[in-house]
Amino acid sequence: MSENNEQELSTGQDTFYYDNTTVRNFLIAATVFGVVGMTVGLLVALQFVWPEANFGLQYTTFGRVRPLHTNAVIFAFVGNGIFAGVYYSLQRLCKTRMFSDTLSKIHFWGWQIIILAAAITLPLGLTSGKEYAELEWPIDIAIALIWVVFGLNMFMTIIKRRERHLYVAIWFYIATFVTVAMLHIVNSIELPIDFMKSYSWYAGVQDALVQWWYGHNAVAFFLTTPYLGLMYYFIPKISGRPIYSYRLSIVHFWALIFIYIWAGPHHLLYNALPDWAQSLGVVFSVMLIAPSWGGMLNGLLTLRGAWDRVRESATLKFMVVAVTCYGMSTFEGPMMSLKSVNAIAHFTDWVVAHVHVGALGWNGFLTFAMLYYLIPKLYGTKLHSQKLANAHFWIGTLGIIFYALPMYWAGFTQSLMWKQFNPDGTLVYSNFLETVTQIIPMYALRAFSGVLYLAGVFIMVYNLIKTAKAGSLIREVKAEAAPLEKDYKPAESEHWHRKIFEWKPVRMLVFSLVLVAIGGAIEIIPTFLVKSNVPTISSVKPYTPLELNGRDIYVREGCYTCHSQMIRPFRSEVMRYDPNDLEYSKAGEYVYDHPFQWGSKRTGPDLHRIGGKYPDSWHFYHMLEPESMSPGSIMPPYPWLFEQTWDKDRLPAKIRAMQTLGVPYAEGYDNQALSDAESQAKGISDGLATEGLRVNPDTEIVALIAYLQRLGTDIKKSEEISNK
Amino acid sequence: MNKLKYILLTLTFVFPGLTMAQDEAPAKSFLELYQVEIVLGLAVVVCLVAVIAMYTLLVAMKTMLRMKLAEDGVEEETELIKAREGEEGLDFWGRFWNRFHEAVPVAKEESVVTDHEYDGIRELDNRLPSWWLYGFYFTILFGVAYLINYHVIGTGMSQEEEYLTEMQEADEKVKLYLASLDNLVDENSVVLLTESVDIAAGKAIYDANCAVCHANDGGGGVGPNFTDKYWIHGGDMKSIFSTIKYGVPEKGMISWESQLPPKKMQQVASYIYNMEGQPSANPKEAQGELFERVEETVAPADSVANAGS
Repeated sequence: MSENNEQELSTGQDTFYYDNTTVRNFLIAATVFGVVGMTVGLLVALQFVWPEANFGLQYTTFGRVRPLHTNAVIFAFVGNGIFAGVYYSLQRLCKTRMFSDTLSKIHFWGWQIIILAAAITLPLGLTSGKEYAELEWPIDIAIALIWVVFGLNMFMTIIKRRERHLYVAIWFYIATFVTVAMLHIVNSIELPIDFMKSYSWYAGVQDALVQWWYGHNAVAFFLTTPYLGLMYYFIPKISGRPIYSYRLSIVHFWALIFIYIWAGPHHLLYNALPDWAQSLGVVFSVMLIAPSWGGMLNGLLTLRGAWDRVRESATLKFMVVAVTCYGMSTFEGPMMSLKSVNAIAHFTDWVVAHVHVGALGWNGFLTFAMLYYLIPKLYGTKLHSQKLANAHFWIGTLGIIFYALPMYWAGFTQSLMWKQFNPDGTLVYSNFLETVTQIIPMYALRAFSGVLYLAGVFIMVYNLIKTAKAGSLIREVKAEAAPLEKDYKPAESEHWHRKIFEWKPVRMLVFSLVLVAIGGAIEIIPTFLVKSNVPTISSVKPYTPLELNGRDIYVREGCYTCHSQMIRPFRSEVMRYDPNDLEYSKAGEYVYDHPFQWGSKRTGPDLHRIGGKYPDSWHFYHMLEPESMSPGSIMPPYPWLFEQTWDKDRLPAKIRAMQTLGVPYAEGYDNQALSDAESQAKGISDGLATEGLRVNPDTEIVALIAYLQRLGTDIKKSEEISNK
Repeated sequence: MNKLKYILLTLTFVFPGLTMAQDEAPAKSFLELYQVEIVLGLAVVVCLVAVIAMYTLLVAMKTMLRMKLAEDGVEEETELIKAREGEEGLDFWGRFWNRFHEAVPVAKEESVVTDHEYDGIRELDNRLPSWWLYGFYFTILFGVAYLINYHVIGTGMSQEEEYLTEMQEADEKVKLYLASLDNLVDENSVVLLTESVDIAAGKAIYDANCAVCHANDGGGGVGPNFTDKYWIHGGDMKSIFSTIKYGVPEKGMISWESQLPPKKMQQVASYIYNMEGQPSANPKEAQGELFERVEETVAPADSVANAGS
C-alpha cells in the first residue's frame, strides 16, 4: 500500500467524476419492479386459495402470470439491483468513471424495454415454454445484445482503471458476465416460425438437460455470483470492517464457479435423464456446500467486531439475514440434491420454500440493504427514518418465516400423502385432489406472508422517497487518482493470485469462461451424441398437426407451471398415474417434444399418461369448469378455449419448422397438415356431439383435447404389437 | 454371576437375535445368523481406525510443517499464538468463535492485514477454517466414492434397478397381506353386501373415486346414471362388479382392479347396486337397456367380521 501511494503522489493525480445518475436510475427501476414483481407474486399466491383471483381473464391466469412473477423478480428486480450495485462499486473499485455514458444509457433503457416487452408478451401467452427462459426469440436476442452492452461497458471500465489490482467483487462480476452470456445463448437457441413464436432447437431429454443447466445456473450466476460481488463491496463499506480472509475469497471464488455449473441435473433426478448425468448433478451439488459457505463465512466473519453496530443499523441487519439465508439455502440445496431426499422434495412446495428463502432472504434483503445504504449517499443526506427501516426489517423477516414454514409443511404433507399405501397395495389417497385440498390452508398462510413482505417493501419505498426529498441527487462525484504506470511487473514477493490474475482482467475472463464451460460440455455433449443416452422407442411417432396445435396451446397457457409430464420410477407414481400398465416415463417418449414440458411442480397431477384415461367429454367439462369433474379443485376454468379458434394459418410453417428440427414428417406434409387437422378435429367434435356436447371443431378446446388424449400413449402401442 | 448377566444383557443389545436364537434350533452358523451385525460392527471399527489414523497424520503433518517453517524463518504459527493474546476481553463464545475458525482476534488483526486497499476496503488474510477446508475435502471424497459406487464398481443400484426392487418387494408384501384376508371374491362369486359397515365403506370409495363422473347421488355426468333402471353393461351385482373390475376403456370407464382390492370393489358395487330408484338432483338421460333385476344373493351376516378391511 505504502509503496503504491508514494508513486501516486510523485506522478500526480487525475481528476475524474463518478456517474451516480445511472446508479440512481437502476435503483429506482429495481424498486419499482420489485414492487410490481412481488405484487404479482401475491396475486398468484392468492390464486391458490381463490382461483377466481384470475378475474376470469386468460391474461391473468396462473399459467401465464407465474412466469411474469418469476421473470419480474429475477430479471427486473434482482437484475436492476445487480446493475445498480455494479455501476456504483465498479467505478469506485477501479477509480474511474464508467467507460461510456452512452453505453450506460443504452444499457439502462434497453433493459427496461426488455422488461416491458416481457410484461406485455407473457400475459398474452407468448412464451417459449421453458422455465425462467420463457421470453420469445426477439426478446432473447435483445437480452443478449443488452447483456453484451453491459459487459462491454463493464469490461472497458476495468481496462481503463486506475487501480492496478482487481478486487474480489470484480472477479464475481466478470464470472457473472461470461457465464450468463454463455447460458442464455445456448439455452435460447430456437427456431422462429414468425415474429412471436418459436420452437426450442433441442427436444425432450436434451432440451431438459440444457434447460436445467441454464435454469440452475441462472440461480448460480444471476442470483448468486453478482450478489456475492455486491456483498464483498457493501458489507465492508457499511460495517467499516476489513474482509475476513483474502485466501478464502480466492479458494471459494474459483471453486464456486467451477463446481456450480455441473449441478444442473439435480433438477432432473429420477427423471428420464441418464443415470450418469444425474449422479454428476448429485456429487457436484454436495461439493458445492463448502464453496458456497466460503462466501457466507467471509461475509459474516467480516462483521467480527461490528456486531454492536448490527444491533443499531437496519442496513447491517438486512445484510446479516441476507447472508444467513444464503448459507441456509446453499446447505439445503445440496441436501435436496441427494436422491433419497429429492424423491420426496421434487415436484412439491418444498422446492418453492427453498427458492423463496433464497429470493426473499438473500436477494431481497441484500437489495434492501443496498438501497438503504445508497439512497442517502446518492442524495447527500441521512436516511429519513431508522425506525421505519427497522420496522421493515422485522416485518420482512416475519414474511420470510411465514412463507417458508407453511410451504415446508405443505411440501412434506403432500409428498407423504402421494406415497402412502394401504397394506392391500392401493394408494391411501388415490385421488390426487385430496392431497391438494389438504394443504390449501398452508397456501393461505403463504399468501399472508406475501402481504407482510410486501408491506415491508412499501414502508421502505416511503422511507426512501422521504430520504430522497430531503436531499438532492449528487449526479457527479469528484474523485482523484493517479493513472497506472505503463510497464508494471508484479514483484516476486507478490501473492501468486495477484501475480497471475488480479492485474489481468482479460486473462481472468478467459479463464473463468474455460472453467465454466467444462462442466456444461461434459454433461451436455455426450447426452447429445451418445445414442444410448436416449433409447429410442419405435412406436413413438410425431404428433398429428392438430395435436401439435394443442401442444402449443398447452405451452401458451403455461400448464407446465402446475402439471408435470414426468412419471418417476416409483411405485407410488406408476400406481397413481398409470395403474393399469405401470409404465413410468421413458426418455424415448419425448424425442419430438420441442420444447420439453416435464415441469418442476405438481400443484395438479402429472399428465404424462393422461391420454385415454378419461373420455373427451370429461376433458370438455373439466376445462370449462374444473370443479364440475373435480369438486374442490383449485384449477381455474378456461372458457376462452371454447371461443378462440386454433391456429390454422401457421400450421404449415409449424410442420416445416418441426421437419427442420428433425421430426420425421413426410416430405411435403405441410400441405396436407391442415386438412388432416380439420378431419381429426371433426372426429373429436362428432364424438362429443354423440354425448350431447356441441362444439365447433375449430375451437382450441378440440386441439387441446387431441393433444391430451395423445399424451403418453405411444409407448403402449409398442406393447400391443409385441404382445400379438 | 452378576457379571455374566451383564455380559448377556449387553450381548442382547448388540445382537438382537441372540436370546431368541437360543430357543430355536441353531440350524445356521453364528456367521450366517449375525451377518449384518458383524458387517456393521466391522464398518464402525474401520471408520474409527480411519478417523484416528487421519487425526494422527494431521498432527504429524502440522508438526512437520511447523518445523519446516521454523527452519525457513517463517513464523506464521507463532504469530497465531501471539495473536491469541489479543483475546482478552472476549467472552467464552467470542473466544470459541475465533478458535473455531482459527481467526486472528480483531485486536490483533493488523498482523494479517494484506497490503492492498480498494475504495477504502481492506482485506485480512485469515487462515481457511480447518472445519471448512476438511469439510470441503470430505464432500470431494464423498463425490468420488459416490461415482465409484454407482458407476465404476456398480454396487449402487441404477434407478431402473431400484424401481424393479421396490415393485417386487411391494408385490410380495401385498400378496402376503391379501392372502391373509377373506379377499378373494371375484365376478363369479360376488354377492350383495347389506351390512351398514359395508355400505358406508362403499359410499366412501364411491365419493372418492366414482362421483367425479357419475355424480355424488348417482345421477350421472360424464358417466351413466345409476338411479334409473337402464344399464349399459348389466345391473346385477355380478355385472356391476365386473364393469368396475375390468372397466370399459373404450368408453372412458377405467379398470379399477389395480387400485381397489376385491373386497372394496364388492363394497362399492353394493353401494352402486342400491342406487337404483334413489332420487337424483340432476339425472342424466337413460342409457343402455331396461334391466329387470332378480333377487340377489345376499352375503351371510358373518362376513361382517372382515367388512372393515
